[in-house]
Amino acid sequence: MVPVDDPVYQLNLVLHFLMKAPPEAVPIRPFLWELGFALDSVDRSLPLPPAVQMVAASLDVTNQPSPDVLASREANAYLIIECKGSSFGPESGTAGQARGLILAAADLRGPLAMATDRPPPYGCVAYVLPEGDAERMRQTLLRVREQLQDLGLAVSPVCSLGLEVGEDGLYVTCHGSHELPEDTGRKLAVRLRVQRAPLTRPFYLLPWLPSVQQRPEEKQYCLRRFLAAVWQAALSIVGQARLECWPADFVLSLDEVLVKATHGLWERWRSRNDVTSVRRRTREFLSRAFRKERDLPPFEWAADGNSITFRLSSAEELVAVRTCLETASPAEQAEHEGQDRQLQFPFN
Amino acid sequence: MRGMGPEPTAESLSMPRLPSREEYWDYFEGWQSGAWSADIRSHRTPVVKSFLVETVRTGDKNPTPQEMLRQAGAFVEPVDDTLFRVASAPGADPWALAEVIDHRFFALYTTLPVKDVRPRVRALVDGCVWLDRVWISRPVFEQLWEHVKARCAPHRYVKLSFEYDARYEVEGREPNDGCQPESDPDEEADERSQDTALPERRSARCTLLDRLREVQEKIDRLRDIYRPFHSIIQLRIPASGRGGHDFYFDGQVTNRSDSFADHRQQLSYVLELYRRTTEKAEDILWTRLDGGPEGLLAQGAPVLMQFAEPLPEDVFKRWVNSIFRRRNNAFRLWGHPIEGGPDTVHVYGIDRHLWQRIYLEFARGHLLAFLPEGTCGNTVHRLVTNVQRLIDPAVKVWIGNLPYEAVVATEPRPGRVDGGPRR
Repeated sequence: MVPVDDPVYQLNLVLHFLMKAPPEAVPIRPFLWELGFALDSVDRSLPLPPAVQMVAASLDVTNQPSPDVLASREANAYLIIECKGSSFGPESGTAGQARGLILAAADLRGPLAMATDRPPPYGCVAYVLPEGDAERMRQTLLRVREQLQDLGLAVSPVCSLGLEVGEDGLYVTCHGSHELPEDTGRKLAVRLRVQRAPLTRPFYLLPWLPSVQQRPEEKQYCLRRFLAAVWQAALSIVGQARLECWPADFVLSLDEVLVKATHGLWERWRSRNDVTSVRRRTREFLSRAFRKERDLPPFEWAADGNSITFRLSSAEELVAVRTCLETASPAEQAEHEGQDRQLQFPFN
Repeated sequence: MRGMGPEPTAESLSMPRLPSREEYWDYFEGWQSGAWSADIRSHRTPVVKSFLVETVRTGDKNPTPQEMLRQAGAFVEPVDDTLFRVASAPGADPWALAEVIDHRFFALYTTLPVKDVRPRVRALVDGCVWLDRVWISRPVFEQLWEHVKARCAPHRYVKLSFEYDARYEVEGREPNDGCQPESDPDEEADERSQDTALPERRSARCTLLDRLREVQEKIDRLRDIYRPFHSIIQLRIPASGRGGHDFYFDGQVTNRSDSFADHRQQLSYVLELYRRTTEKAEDILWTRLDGGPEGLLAQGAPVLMQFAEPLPEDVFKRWVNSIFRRRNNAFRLWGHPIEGGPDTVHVYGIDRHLWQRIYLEFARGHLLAFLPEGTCGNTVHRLVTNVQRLIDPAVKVWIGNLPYEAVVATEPRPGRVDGGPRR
C-alpha cells in the first residue's frame, strides 16, 4: 500500500509525474510531462506585489507563498502545485497560503521576475491530495478565490488532483479540469491510471521536508531515507577529498553534508526548529560510524556542533576514514534509536 | 633504416625504454634497426593491446592523467607532453605507455601478454578514484557495426563475440570488476574434484568470425531465435590494410592489423563516438537540483533499463545482494538498500568511480537510475554493459525519453581529435 495522504510521498510522486521518461516503460507515468510540463522548481518563493498585499490585508494571506512544486510549459503556462494530506476549510489557518498562491498565480510576472511588458502567463493552482478529499478541497479553493475576487483582485484558475489506489493501480482524477488550458483540461477530464499494481513508492529524491505533518511511521520512513542521503553525501565528500601533504586536518562540515543531502535546500531550512534535531542526528550518525571499532589504522578525530575534524598523518588513515563511512549503515542508526523496524536485508 | 629500437617480439615481459614517441611508434609498427634489411620472415610485429581509460569530464581542480596514474601506484616518466612510460617501480622498464588522447581519455599501450597486463590495468583503475574503463555497451557496438557495414567491403572478415552469463541464477563467485575473466571459469571448475556437484546456470559465449556479408545476412535471424546474440562484447573492425582491430566491451583493443598508425586512428574514431555519446547522455540525465534563494531549480531525467521479462524473484534478490554485500562488485556501486515496495529496492548509492552520488531503483522488471550533476556518464555505459552481460542480453535502455540507440546514432565528425599531437 502507498501513503496517498502523505505530503512527502505526494511531492516525490509529483516529481516523477514531471520526469522526462518513456511513459509506456517507466513505472510511474509522467503524465504532466506528457502534457508538456517540466519541473521548474521546488519550494520557490513567489512574493506578492506590494499593491496586492495592501488590498488583501483584510484577509489572512501569506504574502510570500512557496508552493511545493512549480511546473512550467514553455514559460507561458504554469502549474502551482501544493501537496496536502487532507482538505481544509476556508476558515482554516492553512487557507492563507491558498489565498497567497491564487494571487501569485494570477500574475507570475512579478514573482518570477519576468518582463512586465508581456502578458501574464497562464497560472493554475493545483492541490494534490487523496481523492476522497479532492472535491472538498476544490470547493474550498473556489470559496477563497471568491473572497479575493470580492476585493477586486485578479485571481487564478484552481483545481485539485485526487490520488486513489484502485484494484489495478494508482489513479489520478482532476477536479476542475475545465479551468485548465483546453488541451490539458480535455486530457485530464478522465481518470488516469498513473501506476500499475503492485504499487511501489517513487524514489524519494526529496526524502525529508521540515515542518510537514506526517504520521509517525511515515516520518520515520522519511528520516531513514534522509539518513541514507546523509550517508551518501558524507561518503561522497570524503571519497573525493584530496590531501597530499601529511599530517593534514580534514574537516567534514555538517552543513556541507546537509546541503548535499538536501540538494541545497538546507540553506533555506536552517532557521526552522526541526532542523536542530536533524543536525543532531546527522552528527550522531557520523560519529557512530567513526567510533565503531574495526580492523583499520587508527586515526584521530573530534566532533563539535558544526563539524567533524580528522587529524590524519597518512593516506592510509584517510582510506580508513572512508572505509568507516562505507561500512556504516543508516539502518543501524535507526535500530540504535529503537524506533524503526529493520529492513530485511540481505534478502532471505 | 628507421629507429634504433630493440628487436620486437610478439610477447615481451616489459616494454623497451625508448627515448621518443617516434621510436615507440616504430617499435609498435615492427620497424627495427638493422633487421629490416635482413630476413623479413624472421620479423615479428609486436601485438599491441590498448586499454582505453576514462577520467572525468570537466574540472580545473582535477589531477592530470599522469597524477592520476601516480595516485594509482604507478611510476610515470614522460616521453613528451602527452606520452608517458608506466612502470611498477622507479627506474624499472615500463610495462605500458600512456598516451593522453584528450582531456577525458587516455590509452595504455602495451606488448605484454594479456594475462600479465590485465591485472595491472585492473589494479590501476581500482587504485584510483579518477579512473574508469571505457565500457562499450551493445548500442555503441551496434553503431560501430553500422560503421563497419557501411565502410568495409563485403568480403572482409569481421569478428563478433557475444556473451551472456546468467550468473545470478545460482549462488557462486562474483566477477570482481565485470571485466573479461583471466580464464574460462568453466575450465577452472573442471580442475576441481570430479565429485563436486557444479551448480548449473544459463551461459552463452559465442564468436562469429566470417566474411562481412555472411554475418550481416545471418545475425538478425540468430537474434530472433536466441537472445544472447544481442549481447555483443567484442567486435573486430577491419583495418584499412590487412587484419583488424578487436574492440572489447571493457575498453581493451587488440591490434590485429599490420599498422599501429591505423590502430590509433581507429581508437580515436571510437573514442570520439564514445565521448559524444557520453556527453550527450550527461546533458540529458544530469539531475541538477540546485537549492538557492529561488528554491530548488531542477532539471534532468532518469536512465531506464527495462528487462524483456521480469526477473525471477530469486535471481533478483541474488543480484541485489551481490552488489550491496560486497564493496568490490562488478557494478562498482555501493549503498544501503531500502525497501520501496513489493520486489523494489531503493538505494542512495555511490559510484566508486569519482565517489559520485547515484540514485537507484532496482525492480524485477527494470533498473532506474538518476545521476546528480557531475556523476560521470560512463556510469551508464558500465551499468548497461554489465546488465546486458549478466542480467538480460535484450535489455532496452532509455536516456530520458530517448532510446539509447538514438543517443549513440550519430557519426563522429572527421577531423582532429582534441588534444595530443597528430602523427
